Amino acid sequence: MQRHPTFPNLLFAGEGVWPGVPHRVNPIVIRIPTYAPPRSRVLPAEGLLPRADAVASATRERAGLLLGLVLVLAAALFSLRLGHSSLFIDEVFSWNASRGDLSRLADSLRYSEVTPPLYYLLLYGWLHIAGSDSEIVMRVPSVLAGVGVVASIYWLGLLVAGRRGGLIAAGLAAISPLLMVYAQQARAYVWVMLALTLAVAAAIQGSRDRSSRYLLLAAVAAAVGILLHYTAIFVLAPLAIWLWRAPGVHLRWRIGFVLAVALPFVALAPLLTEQLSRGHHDIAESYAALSPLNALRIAGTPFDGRMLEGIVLARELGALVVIEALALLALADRFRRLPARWLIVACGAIPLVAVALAGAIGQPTALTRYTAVAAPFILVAIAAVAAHANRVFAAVLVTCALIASGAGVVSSHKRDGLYPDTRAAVSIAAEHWQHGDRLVGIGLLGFDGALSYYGDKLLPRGQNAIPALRTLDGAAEAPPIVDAVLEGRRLWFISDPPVDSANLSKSLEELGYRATATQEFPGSGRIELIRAEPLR
Amino acid sequence: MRGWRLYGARAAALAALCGGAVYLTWRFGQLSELGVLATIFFIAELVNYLALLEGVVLFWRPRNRLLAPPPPDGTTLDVLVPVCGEDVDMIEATVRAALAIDYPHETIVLNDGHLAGKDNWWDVELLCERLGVRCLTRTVGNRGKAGNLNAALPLTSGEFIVVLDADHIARPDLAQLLLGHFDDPRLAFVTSQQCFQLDRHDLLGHQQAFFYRLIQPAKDRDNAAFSCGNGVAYRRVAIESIGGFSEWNLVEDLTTSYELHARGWHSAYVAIPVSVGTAPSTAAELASQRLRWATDSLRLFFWDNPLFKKGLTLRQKLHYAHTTGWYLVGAIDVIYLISPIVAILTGARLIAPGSEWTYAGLIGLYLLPIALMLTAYVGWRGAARSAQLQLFLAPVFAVAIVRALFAHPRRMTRRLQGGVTAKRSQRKVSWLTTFHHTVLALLLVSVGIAIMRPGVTLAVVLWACVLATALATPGSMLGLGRDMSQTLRIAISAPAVAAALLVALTVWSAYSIDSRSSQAAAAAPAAAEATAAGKTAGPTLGPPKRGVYLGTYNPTVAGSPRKPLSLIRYPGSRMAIFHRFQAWWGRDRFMAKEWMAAVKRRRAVPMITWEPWRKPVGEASSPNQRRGLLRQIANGRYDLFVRRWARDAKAYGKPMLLRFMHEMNGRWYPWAVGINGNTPAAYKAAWRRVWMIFRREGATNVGWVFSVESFAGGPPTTRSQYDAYYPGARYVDWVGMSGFNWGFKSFGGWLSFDRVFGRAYDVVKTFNKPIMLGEVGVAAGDPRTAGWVRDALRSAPKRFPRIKAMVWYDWRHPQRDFRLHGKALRELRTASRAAELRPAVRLMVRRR
Repeated sequence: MQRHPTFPNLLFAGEGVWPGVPHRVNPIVIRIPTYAPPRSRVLPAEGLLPRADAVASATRERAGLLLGLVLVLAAALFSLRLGHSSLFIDEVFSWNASRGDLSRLADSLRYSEVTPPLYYLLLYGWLHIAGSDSEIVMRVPSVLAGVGVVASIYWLGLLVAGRRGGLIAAGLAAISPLLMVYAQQARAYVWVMLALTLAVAAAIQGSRDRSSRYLLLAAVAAAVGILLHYTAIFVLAPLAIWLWRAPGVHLRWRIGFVLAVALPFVALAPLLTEQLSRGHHDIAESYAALSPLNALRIAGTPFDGRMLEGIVLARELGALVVIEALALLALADRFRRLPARWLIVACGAIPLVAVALAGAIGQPTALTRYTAVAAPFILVAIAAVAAHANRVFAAVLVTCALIASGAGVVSSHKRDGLYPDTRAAVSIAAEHWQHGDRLVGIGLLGFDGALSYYGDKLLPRGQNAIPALRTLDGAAEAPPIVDAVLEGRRLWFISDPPVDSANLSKSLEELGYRATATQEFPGSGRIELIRAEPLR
Repeated sequence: MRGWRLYGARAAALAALCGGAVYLTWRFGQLSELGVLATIFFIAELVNYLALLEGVVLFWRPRNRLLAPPPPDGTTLDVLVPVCGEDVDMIEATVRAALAIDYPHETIVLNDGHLAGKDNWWDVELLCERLGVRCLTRTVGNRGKAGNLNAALPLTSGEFIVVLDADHIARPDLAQLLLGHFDDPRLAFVTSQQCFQLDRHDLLGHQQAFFYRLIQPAKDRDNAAFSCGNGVAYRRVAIESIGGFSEWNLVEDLTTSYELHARGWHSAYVAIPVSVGTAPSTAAELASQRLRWATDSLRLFFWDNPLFKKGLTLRQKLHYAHTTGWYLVGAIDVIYLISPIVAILTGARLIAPGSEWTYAGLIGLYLLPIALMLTAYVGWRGAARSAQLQLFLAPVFAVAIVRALFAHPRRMTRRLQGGVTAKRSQRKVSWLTTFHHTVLALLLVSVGIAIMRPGVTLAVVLWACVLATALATPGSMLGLGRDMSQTLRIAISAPAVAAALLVALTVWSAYSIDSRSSQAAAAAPAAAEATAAGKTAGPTLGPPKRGVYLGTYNPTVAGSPRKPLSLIRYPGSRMAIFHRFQAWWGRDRFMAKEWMAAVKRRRAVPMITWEPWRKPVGEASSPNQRRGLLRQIANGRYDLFVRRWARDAKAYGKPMLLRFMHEMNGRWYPWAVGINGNTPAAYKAAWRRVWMIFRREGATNVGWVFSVESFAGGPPTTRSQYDAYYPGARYVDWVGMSGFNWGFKSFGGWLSFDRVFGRAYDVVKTFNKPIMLGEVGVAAGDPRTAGWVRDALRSAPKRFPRIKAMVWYDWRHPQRDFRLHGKALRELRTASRAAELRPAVRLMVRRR
């Protein structure tokens, strides 16, 4: 029996509208709309169970086949041109931290990273087992983790949105530009995505089935997640709250899970404090501030790959899909009965909001690498909405997601590679190398460890120390270059971006040099190789 | 409405009036700098403000009626249920409820189905027979509810008449609530609050809480409450005294009340619902219903205007004028809907650039009290629904105005007759809502465009987001079912809300980075070193209070670094600014300290046009060098070089001007926007980075001159184009212009000073910065040259009062000789001694 909010005498009941008036004279009944569960979730009636089982079995088989295809697609896309791109600057940090002895790792963590140590330890072990540190070897674990993320997203989607939802989520994950980039990068991001997806899925399954096994898995995955990357806390905090409030979970498991999150975090706190105190490079402000473009990239996190800057529409479409999916899942009554709906929304939205707020207070952190932890949950949210919304709406939503993903996939797999082609530039220099030559990095490469990686591998030992300069104008004041100039040696410059020819001549003239050969290397960041010889 | 809510609402209303006055005064002051769109927008704001003022005056004191005494015994009551083709089961429920009214009465069904050609009129007769009530089925007479009621008057005899619509279930105690008020013999009718079966959220705002809780009680106090057509008890004698219900207008309730009041009868309003009915559940049906109401109310306004109605008191006239004319105000809100779209798509401006924060503060002072006032009266949900509904119905009211203007009572009565609100099968789409949906789509597209388009004012984007969110609710009411409507509503409003948040956060981010950089600069070691001599290098050059600074560019005057500044050329003059060009590459790439020291000794200010290029020998321009230069500057490639300059500038210690990357709106320099791979965003970013380095180094003595080309005689660069690369008010101290009278036929021949600068002046003055003519010159060797100089120096400053500095280009350009000779030079010398051109140098302390 409910009362009308503005008309207290009006009763919503079967007996009539006005109190005290016999039913026969006022038979109006106000029907309160009720939620109709999706057809796929309607349980079969008793007596039809054998047939229902058969149907369910066939559905399972079909879903298994489709999942297999999705995983193969993911593996293929993640492995495609795996070693084609030169190492990215961040990957070189991974390489640098994971080679040599463990004391090097500690130094590297303190001075050049803002991440916990677990990934580097894993990579350290892997490189020693593999016996190689080539680009492909370094990236292979990420590919495997990427496929694992797709599979675990299917599991999570299955739990939240049913089999169809799980398949849609896995399909979107397989072609997610963000996942593709990180599955091809020797960094921790794809691993932390894997750990968190597993943690959330295991927690949901564990609380539903009251299974200690799954809850243990959730706790272990959560601890691993926090040891892989600090941003895991954006997901683990809502997960811990959700699990604490979940009915039927024993108190010791609740406490255990909170400890599994809190203890590693507390243990890492001193390291984090030290890393944060060193701060970011000033240069990060130029690309990681919360500009409109970066805000769009964050809002459309799962669709953010190495997209060309011009593809604004695809970015907007991606952001639109994410916002729609999260808002609908959170607010629309249609999805009210989906299990763990709020957990998925929180895990998808909190990282985005947190990073955007950090950007708003001036921190140069507006990058999707920090919101990557949200991607699996956003994809599950999209899938849940697509699987349970009106068909037309679902079709529009999925089509938009496919367009945004497609644009990202195409640009991510462009021929020129993902990152500046440092390897090709150093290779050519090595090919024409003469004893006594000196290689110098200019511009962004001044910070780019890729030069040291490839110098280490391709240049003659003893001559592979590569000084780095911000600009060519400062060359005359850099001691290693001054030494080389005084000795009349040939100089090789690799510049990112390419140097203006007039500026180059002028600067070299000041050194008493001239450019004898230049070559430009296309890619997402163009670089230029310059050979300079003394004027005679 | 009483107690703290009423007093709080009144306080908020007064605050809104004060805040609105301040806001509108400020807006009015800006109009001269803005275009037509802003003026139209301002008019809409002004009209709404006046409507608010009128509302506050009229509805200041609502009347809270006590419960009526018991109705007198022995009176007779007729309950009339006019029907016209409604579903029979609905009519049955209504009639059964009417029969159950706990007072001696006769229930009579007035069946208009036959006259209106409805198929079920016979079913209604059968129903009445079954229920044992009298059914009066008309076959002739005027169509419409009023005609139906009038036809029944001679056939009924009750002393009082209660009218119930066919879809309204009456309360059993209806008579007790209404009839007791008739102890006043002058009372003609008692009207009551309407109530409808609605979704809990009342998405289309049918409860009209604001109307029933404030407006009707306030009208009641002034004896101007009007009948709402249903749940109204009339005194038969009163109705007969005006010849029956008014038939010329479809809103017979309003018109009849109007006539009764004009005859001196009284009315009463009971803020209690006495029946519950149905209401439109789709936006299209709602629009259709409100179009009907609006048209007929406006007909009353246009053709029987209450202000000139005899028999009404002044307050009654005002109340009826408000009721019938309110739709005119409502229609003006169309401007609110369209303006942001136009502003974003065309680049037109609604507010002056650089005044966003002032705008936000002042409009907050205005809108926040309005929101509080509405919330106090009807709760936040009711307030939100009122605002949504007003915006949604604005185009409907605009249509109603047109219809009403062409609907004279004598000519158009028949055409407008008929039409009732659909009760069951309601239309889902209508031509009336087409405009609304188009606007909604355009708003969302505009927001999408605006996010990626530099130069669009933040406030306009936010306004577009707010409008899209507001329109999402009625826009989603397409009769698609509750789930789909909700999905649609969320799908429309979520991106708008998210876009608003993202825009706000990005602005906050830019502000945070700036302030953090400033703080960092203050704490930087370099700044600490300077602590002994003050943390910063002191103030820069500000505009004079009166007059114009005069300056010159002449290399012989500027001199070489070793022998700088010879003023033999201008004996007796007092030049305030000495100008010099310096490129980033070449011999002259470092700051000319000796020259600047010489300028300092002259108590003048050095201005350096700082050009990031290698100056070509013997050529005026060489745009194709250093491709991607701006991006490189923005990315910090030249930070070391810039920092060195900044330190030198700070060490100089006295005011100096840096005219950086000038004439960017041309195509002859490598930093010009639109060529050489340069984008507006890159220009802005490069400027800000360089500016930031100077700030970090504490070189606050540097004044920044954003100097554009005036395109003498040609169309100037528009403000919206400038907005794309104008670095922002914070980064600019002076806005400069270059302009020459070349004297070439190909350049328009001999051009007056006004032709050279006039049109560009009108644009650059909107930056609200002091204006400097960074390069002004006239072709030498023409007999008109001296006159041109005299006009420029003596008369022009009066015609262009925002010009605060004028730097004469007294040198030979590669394409034209601008050196002054003979009489022209004497004019300059003479003028430079005048008091207006020798103002005291005024300093400006820059905010940190």
